[in-house]
Amino acid sequence: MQENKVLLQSNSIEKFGKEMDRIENSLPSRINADPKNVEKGLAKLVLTLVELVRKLMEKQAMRRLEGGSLTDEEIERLGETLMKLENKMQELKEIFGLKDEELNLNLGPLGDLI
Amino acid sequence: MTKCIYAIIDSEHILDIDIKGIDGYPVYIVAYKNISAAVSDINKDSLKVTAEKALVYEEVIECLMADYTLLPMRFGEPVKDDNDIIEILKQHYDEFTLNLTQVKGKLEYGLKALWDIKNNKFETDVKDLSKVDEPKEGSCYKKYLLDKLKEHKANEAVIKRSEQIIESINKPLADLSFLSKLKKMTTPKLVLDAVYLVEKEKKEIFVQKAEELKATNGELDFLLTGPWPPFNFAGNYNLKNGSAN
Repeated sequence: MQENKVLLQSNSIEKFGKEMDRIENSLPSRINADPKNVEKGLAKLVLTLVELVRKLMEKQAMRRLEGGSLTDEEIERLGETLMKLENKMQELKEIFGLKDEELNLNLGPLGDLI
Repeated sequence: MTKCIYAIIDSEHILDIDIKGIDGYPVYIVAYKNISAAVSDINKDSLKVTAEKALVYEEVIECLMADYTLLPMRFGEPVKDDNDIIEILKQHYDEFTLNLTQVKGKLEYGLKALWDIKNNKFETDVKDLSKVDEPKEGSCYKKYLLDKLKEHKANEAVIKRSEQIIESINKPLADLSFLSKLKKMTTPKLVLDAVYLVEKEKKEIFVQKAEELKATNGELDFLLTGPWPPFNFAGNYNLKNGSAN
């Protein structure tokens, strides 16, 4: 290239390069149709959907908590349900060797599901 | 021999510059009406993207950009021969001419801004906004829920702060641009990743405004680059089955 393309720079280029690498590593790679991976792929899909529902439930619970519409008993029950759900999800992720950041679906122009 | 299309240019005349493309093959044009495709032969095994080939590809486009208005094409999409290229030009003629008109006399600039949420200023804002009264009594379930509420409020504070930052930086630059595209928080640190299509005569004022924004947002790391060929404003064309998207 015939000219320097960097017009303004606050910090080292490497810092920005690191973030671009993070984006590239999170992009969906080609589907691996290896039979051994089918089970993991299916688990990933199912757990992604469960995680979506769990997060929506959590968000709804936060709204109700902030709104002050819950009794102490309801807070206890809600806390117990969400905590056990999160713990169960953690167990399932460990069983299938899945990381938190893997539980997502890229919807193209619409962005990521979660 | 496979062909590689580098760009669509707004001219039907033979190139008066000598450019070597990937694998050292000369770049030439295939014309249809008043537009052309700038192409070269390419070895089939060269279609796989490597850093070296991407650089050569970019240099060809930069050379062309000096003399022509152009729409850069995606690297790595092979075309069989010149007849196929003419078919592509025929099929997409209207979109190509429209997009060429859109990018004529303009250049693309890219801006990335990083923030560090652990930076003291931000962390204080987030801590203030996410305060929750500690429970006086209750089981671990109540504490769990209240911890979740703290986390939720902290996330909302981060989102709110990021929206303020993005608006304060993007709006003045977008106002100086013909077109712009913005991605927000693509990573926890990359708060803004934007591209701007700027008229050539507004280049100085655009860069000056970016400098001002950098000076007034000292807690952010800025990277402004350009001018680039209009990669992000060229449109998307599926050259295999002839459909544009």
